[in-house]
Amino acid sequence: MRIVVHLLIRVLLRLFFGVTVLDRLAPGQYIVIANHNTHIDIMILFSLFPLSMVSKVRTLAAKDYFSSGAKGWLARQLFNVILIERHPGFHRENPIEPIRQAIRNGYSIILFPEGSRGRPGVLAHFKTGVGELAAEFPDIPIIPVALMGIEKTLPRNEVLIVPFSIEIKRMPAVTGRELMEQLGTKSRKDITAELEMRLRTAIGDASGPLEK
Amino acid sequence: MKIIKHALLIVMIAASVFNLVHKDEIGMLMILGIVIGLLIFFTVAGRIMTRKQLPMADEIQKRTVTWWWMIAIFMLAIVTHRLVSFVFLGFLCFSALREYYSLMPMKEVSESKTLSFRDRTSIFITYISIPLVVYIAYIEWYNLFIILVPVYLFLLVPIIFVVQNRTDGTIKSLGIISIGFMFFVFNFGHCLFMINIGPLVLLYCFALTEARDLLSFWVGKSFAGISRSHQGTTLARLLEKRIAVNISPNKTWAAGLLVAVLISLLSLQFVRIMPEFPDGRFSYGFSAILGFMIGILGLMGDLVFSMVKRDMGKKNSGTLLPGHGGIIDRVDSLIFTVPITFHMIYWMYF
Repeated sequence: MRIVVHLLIRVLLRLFFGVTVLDRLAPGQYIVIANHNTHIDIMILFSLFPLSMVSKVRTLAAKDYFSSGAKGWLARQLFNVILIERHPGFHRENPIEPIRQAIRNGYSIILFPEGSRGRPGVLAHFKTGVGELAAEFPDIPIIPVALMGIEKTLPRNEVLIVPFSIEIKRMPAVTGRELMEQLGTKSRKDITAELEMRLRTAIGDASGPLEK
Repeated sequence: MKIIKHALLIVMIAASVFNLVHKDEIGMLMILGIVIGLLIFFTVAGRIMTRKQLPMADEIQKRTVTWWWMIAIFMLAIVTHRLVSFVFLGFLCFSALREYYSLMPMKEVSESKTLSFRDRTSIFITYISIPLVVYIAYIEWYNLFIILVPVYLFLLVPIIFVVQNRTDGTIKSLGIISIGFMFFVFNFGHCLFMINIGPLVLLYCFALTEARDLLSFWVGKSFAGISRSHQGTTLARLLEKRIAVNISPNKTWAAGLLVAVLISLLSLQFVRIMPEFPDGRFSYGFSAILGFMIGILGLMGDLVFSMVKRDMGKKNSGTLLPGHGGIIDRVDSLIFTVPITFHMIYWMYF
């Protein structure tokens, strides 16, 4: 049932947004990182995986936004969300912990290192969690993906979805091990910075972000 | 997977053929037959070229495969019920319009060669106008069809801007948005009314327009060869006169005119199969003139959108059609040939 809905989503994405996935990921475990602009991002990133794998992919979502209502139900049913506290209080659970658990259980993870959607088209600085995961799970391929044109479809705080052509730029996979060798460091800050630079280059964002 | 794709293609083409045979549409069957013949020729040629490892083999094969799919889908849409054709063409309008609006980046306020985020509402309205135009064409309300976009939609968008309380970048956004719907909803939407006067007329226009595209490639190459081997002569200088060297460095007036003449001759072949119109039959003279016009207009359509793409810094309008680029890359000539062909036939024979 879930597979049918995902197939329908892919057909609609193709018809209305011109999304064509030329090289789908082979079955396996991955960490996909991408720029975050809209609520549609996750649907496109899921379509990079073969249909048979859709139940084996999880993603993060803000608990205050996605724990209740229709949005929450859809998020849990279709995208296997891991809910995390956005504004942690005293008894804060490490937001990375549930992701670690999921990876140990064999799930692939889709991550938005910027954290939130931010200004449309502008890439904010990456949070260092992705570097931490890369160092801790050095053999899992990390796939940086740049979604272009998508910021026009449903920018933050807008309600109307307007179709535009969306381009997916998938960068070569890289493992944590390769990154640590290349950079000569195990520092999660450096690994994160390297991944951020790769995504930034792909987007062609030469100027850098205007917000943190 | 490949077997399924091949089987699907064959099923679609067979369905079109059976449909046409059932409706006794000899004219369309003839055209379809010739088109399939050409496709088979290029498929075989592509295979031979790949085997001999000639350059451009991969390019030709990719283009041919996409052609197979485009023809199969297009023919099936045209020969089945008129509603299916209309929905298909409406969707084609939408894809082209979406591709156009996606050519340029989007900022807070529209700057040179960008749209503004505030344009999204108006752009949504232009998308919505497409099913409306499809409906109006379907019920054959010509008078509303001919003014809905150029008058009503054209005036509605600036009204939306006023209600949005915008000042900066408005004239720029209005220009970009209006050109979008004028090309891809109004002009391309004439395909719908062409189906109303006869699907064969649409097929005629499409076939001639695409033939021009293919011929101009070969004629261009031949003339380039001739002028290279006769360097410095008057002949070479005449042959080499470019139409718009900044837009398309290889297109020459000589090749363009010869292709138009060839299309005019090709157009004569269609005279006997064209349907009878309310005010007379398709004459040879008219057909020749129309063919020549399609030759020139198709060339201009190609150049106009090359110009737009160059302004945007893009080489292709999109990636939807492997080997061809985007939808706009394929329909650019049709936007110019279809409306004018329609109006000439409508004026002459209705």
